[in-house]
Amino acid sequence: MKYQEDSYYIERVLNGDVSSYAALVTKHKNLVFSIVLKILNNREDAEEVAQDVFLKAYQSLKKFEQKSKFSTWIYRIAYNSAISRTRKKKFEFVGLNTQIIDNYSTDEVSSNIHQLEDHDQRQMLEKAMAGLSDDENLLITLFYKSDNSIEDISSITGLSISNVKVRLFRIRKKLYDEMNLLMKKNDSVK
Amino acid sequence: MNKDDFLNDDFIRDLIRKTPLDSPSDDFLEKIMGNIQMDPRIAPVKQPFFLWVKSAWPFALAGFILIVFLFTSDLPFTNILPGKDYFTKSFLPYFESLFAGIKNLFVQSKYTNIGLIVIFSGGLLVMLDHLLHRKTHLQHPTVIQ
Repeated sequence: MKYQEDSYYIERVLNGDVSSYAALVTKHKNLVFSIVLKILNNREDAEEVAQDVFLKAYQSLKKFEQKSKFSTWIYRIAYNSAISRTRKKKFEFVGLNTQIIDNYSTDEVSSNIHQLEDHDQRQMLEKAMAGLSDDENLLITLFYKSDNSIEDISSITGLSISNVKVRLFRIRKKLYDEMNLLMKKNDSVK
Repeated sequence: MNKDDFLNDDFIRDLIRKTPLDSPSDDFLEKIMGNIQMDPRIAPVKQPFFLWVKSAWPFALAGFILIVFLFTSDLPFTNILPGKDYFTKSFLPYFESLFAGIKNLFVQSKYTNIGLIVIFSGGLLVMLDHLLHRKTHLQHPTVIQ
């Protein structure tokens, strides 16, 4: 389905067309829900918090100054709401425990995976991502799935820009390590 | 691995995008819209006055210029405009001294004329850009996958 820019719907809502808010909800509900779910790890709680996020955003829409993207703004609300729900001061971005396996190239890994069927590629990735922690999954989702910039992610999570870069670098490396190991296991089974 | 490789890793990006995001329940949207429309504690969003003025000013300006033009022009069909007599015979004389001053300004210096033409043209271009931007916005929507 084709959507307009967020600013189009925001203007319509501010002009009194409440139904236009449905488009904003539909566009962003999956990522808002994903962010909250990765922090809370409970679908019912995540659904409740995600609904509150959109209600809060609606009530505050006239204060939204459009200095940042609407998506960054609402994902920040989602992140902070989920954190408040867990009663933690900050989402625990734990240190990464990476094994140093450098005896492969990323091109080799990606080339091997490209040869698999789509379904097998997805399975491979899901197994690799199962080894990531919730905060790592959150960063991967924000950066690779929804094209948020490093600055956006920094704004959403409260991490510094350099911290986000370092973490993404290490998470990517960890994914390649995992996928390389999985490919070798597959080859040894055959 | 270079430290900035993750920025341009299309392989990982494409692979990760093949896995869908988690989705809320099917009635998620209905619940939110129901709360917004029915809960009296949630005040309806009202457009701040300045936003209304901001979006309407090009049309107001164009309308004002058109009215002034019609009431001050000698075009024959404008004689039937109601109130034109009053406007030209009773209302305009109050502004004669102001208009006379402005007229002198035009007569005395050709640079003033050029400056005013540039300002007027620039204003028209801004208005046209604003109107076209709104139209383009509607014709080129963002595709969401």
